[in-house]
Amino acid sequence: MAYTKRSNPLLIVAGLGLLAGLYGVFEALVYRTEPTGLGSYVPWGLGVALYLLFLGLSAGGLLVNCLVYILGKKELDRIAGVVTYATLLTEVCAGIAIALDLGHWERMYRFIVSPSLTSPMFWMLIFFNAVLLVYAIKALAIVTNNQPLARLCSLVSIPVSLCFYATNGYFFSIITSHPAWSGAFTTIWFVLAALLSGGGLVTALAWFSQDESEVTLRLGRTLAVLLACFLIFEWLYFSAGYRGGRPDIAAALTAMLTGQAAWSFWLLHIGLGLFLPLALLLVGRNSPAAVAWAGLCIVAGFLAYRYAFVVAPQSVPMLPGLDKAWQDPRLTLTYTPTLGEWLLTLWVFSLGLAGFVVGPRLFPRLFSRPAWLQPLAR
Amino acid sequence: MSPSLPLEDPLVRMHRELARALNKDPDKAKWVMVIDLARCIGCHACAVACVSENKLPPGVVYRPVMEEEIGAYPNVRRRFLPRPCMQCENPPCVAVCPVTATWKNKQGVTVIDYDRCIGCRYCLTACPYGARCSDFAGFYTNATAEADGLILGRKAAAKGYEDAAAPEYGKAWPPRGHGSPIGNARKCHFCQHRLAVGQLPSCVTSCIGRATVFGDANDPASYVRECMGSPRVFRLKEEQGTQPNVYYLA
Ligand code: SF4
Ligand code: SF4
Repeated sequence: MAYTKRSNPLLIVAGLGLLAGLYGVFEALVYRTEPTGLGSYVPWGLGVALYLLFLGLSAGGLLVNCLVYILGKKELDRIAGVVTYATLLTEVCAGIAIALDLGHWERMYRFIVSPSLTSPMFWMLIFFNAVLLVYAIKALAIVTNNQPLARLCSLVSIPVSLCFYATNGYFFSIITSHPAWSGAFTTIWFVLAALLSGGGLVTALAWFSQDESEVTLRLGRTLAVLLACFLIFEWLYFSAGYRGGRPDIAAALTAMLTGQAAWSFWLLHIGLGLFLPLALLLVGRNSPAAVAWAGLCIVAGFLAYRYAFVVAPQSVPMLPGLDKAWQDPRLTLTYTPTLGEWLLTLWVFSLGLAGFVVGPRLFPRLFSRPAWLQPLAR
Repeated sequence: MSPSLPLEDPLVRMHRELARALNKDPDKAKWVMVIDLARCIGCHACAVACVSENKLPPGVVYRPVMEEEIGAYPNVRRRFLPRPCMQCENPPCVAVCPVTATWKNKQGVTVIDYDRCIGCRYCLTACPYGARCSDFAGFYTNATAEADGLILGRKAAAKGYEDAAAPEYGKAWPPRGHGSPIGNARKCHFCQHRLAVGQLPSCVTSCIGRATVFGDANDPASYVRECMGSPRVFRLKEEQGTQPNVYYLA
């Protein structure tokens, strides 16, 4: 899809979002965590959920490369350019979201001068940059019509990306103090969640941006499988959690299902993000538009899933009665994002939207089929 | 005099033993705390003394005292449990820090380099005791009205507290602006700055029931070692494998 007139309204929406969201960026840059609704017992909130959402969306590259280079679905290589662009853009959004969530973002150089090899966060950063680098080189290869280099990058990106998404799960899985996060299951679930949400994004892009019906339908079938797997994993997570006999895990799960943000869990995650796309994929499996909308629904519902996963387990006190021992709004088990946090979220979303709308103008070669596939064009 | 009454105040003994530990090689000392729950009356003096000593802002507390009601009416009791940092032997908070801003010092105390901490709050989620706080830049005197004079109004109140330098880790941290320790993880450090000059931690000296015992676990004759050998001794969340250096007497 070239940049068309139908892109204009989206660009205006993105522009307005960027403008309104500036206040959130200003607050985060200048006052850091001070204006947030976070506290010491719920130290991670919307910022971390936003980061997890965007890092998951960047997994579309991994999904497509696996399908092309491991399962031999060569036709998917037609969207290699846009998938590469999507991976880069969403990674940048994820990076901004998490950097602005730090109490001292200006000290990020510390990751280089005093790294800790025992910290999953350090490895997360390493793999984050590795993915960024591999995909940046791949983008260059596509633009310069260097097929061997693009192929090499795609192959290298598979293990590197797998390490990245697994490390993000591992990041949570070692936190035994919050048992609803911990355990090897989380690592695998994170990879699956990333593939599903990233797959949703590239499926939508394949249709709305590339008009690739065959590719969209192929991705739709993959999405259906991933969605089914995700549902099984989610059922296992809740079922094992409730039946395992650990009251702290059960309390965290109950907080997800019935807590403050339960409406978003049920409506956005379960309804919009899982069941609606499943229905669209089943009923409209031969319609690229329906499949693309299913992909968009998955993307839209995923923030609620990430939010529930991050916030709900923190509502369980580390020690019974700790939250009552010293009264202060920063020492409670509840968390409500502030206007500044929502505006920052809006800004990051708008940046992503603007990136996708102006992408075809800025990088037309990435938004068309790779040059080496041109003869195959219909 | 009843032989069950101590001949000297336990504080005097702990002070003497602290001097002994510091006069040897201080690096060979292993600081340990024992809290006798039977003696804790839930007055929260230790929590307040700690806040005052370390100039802690609103929302940051190193040693809250948890309360629990046990039994059924009419046989109801309240139980109090002060919760400092456990200075774990195997601290999950240290391993997760991505920039080595927190570590165990030679005397077994988990410390933080405020100038290195990036404020990611990973250690807060990793600590099984909720012993770390993030400094969200709160001010007690924000809503205090201005007034002229030396003893009334916001300026005077701030001068006595928030504009005074926090003494942690032997450094005079500047009045609260936007720099560290704002934005950092903060936690109990057994009053490192007081130990360095031969003083017991503030929570120990302020405990009116003498429920908090502090000393060198490597000194076989110390009061703290005596308490660690009590049959009433237990540690919190032993199953986490953190091996706390704070013990409780049930
Ligand atoms: S109690 Fe928490 S903060 Fe203190 S050493 Fe243990 S894990 Fe670290
Ligand atoms: S908040 Fe500071 S001390 Fe804690 S893990 Fe992050 S950088 Fe390390």
